[in-house]
Amino acid sequence: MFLDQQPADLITVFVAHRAQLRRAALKILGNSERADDVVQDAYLKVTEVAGVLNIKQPLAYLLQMVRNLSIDRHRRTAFEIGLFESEEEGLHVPALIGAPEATAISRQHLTLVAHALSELPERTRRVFELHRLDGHTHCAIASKLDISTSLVNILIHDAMDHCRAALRSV
Amino acid sequence: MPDISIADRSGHKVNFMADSRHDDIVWQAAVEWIIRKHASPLDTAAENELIAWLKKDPANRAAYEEASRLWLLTGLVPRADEE
Repeated sequence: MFLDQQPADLITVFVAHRAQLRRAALKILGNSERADDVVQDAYLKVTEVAGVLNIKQPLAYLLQMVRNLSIDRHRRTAFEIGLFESEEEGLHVPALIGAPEATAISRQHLTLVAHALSELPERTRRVFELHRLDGHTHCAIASKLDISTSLVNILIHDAMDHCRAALRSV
Repeated sequence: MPDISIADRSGHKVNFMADSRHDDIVWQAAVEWIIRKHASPLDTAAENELIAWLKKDPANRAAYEEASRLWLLTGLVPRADEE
């Protein structure tokens, strides 16, 4: 096992491929400033995650993390505008609910979630990854796995329910 | 399974089964919002609907925050074939 070396490895790979990671973020966000923010956020996440999970393909993992954070950021921008508009109307909903960069990663929770995902039936895990990590639509996942779109949604919920139960069991 | 009803100190009936059912309904709704938002950016109508839902009940807000935190964690776990 390379667990002792791994934290340094993940961070070393990050630094060595910083430009490539930034390009991946830029491709999704189309904005240098936000791409830099995401890369910075990803770096903080990496320092928190390093050593917790056994990651065999660091670069693939890092690219995926940056893409995910970029997609989250991209989705949220429109949502935040909605919140600001509401606040102007005198309503009060604090912005940035669940904003990834505002959330510290609990190493214990991350370990529990990784374990919970590993316990899922293979098909459920696959559906969840296609949605969560690859951003595929329900339709695309349904036709890929030859199941209905409603089953796709049910399996995504199943995955989330199982992870929630794992976190609540401690 | 029968519902278990007892009264709290102020005499209000507390229905544990109903509570856990309600908790589940709220959680499923929160996860559904997260999935929708992940699938594509919400349009203005959907955003307003979400904001209204968040404000309607602190339990909605709490479930949404819990689901958001969990969603973030699931995005940091490597794929099954990369573990």
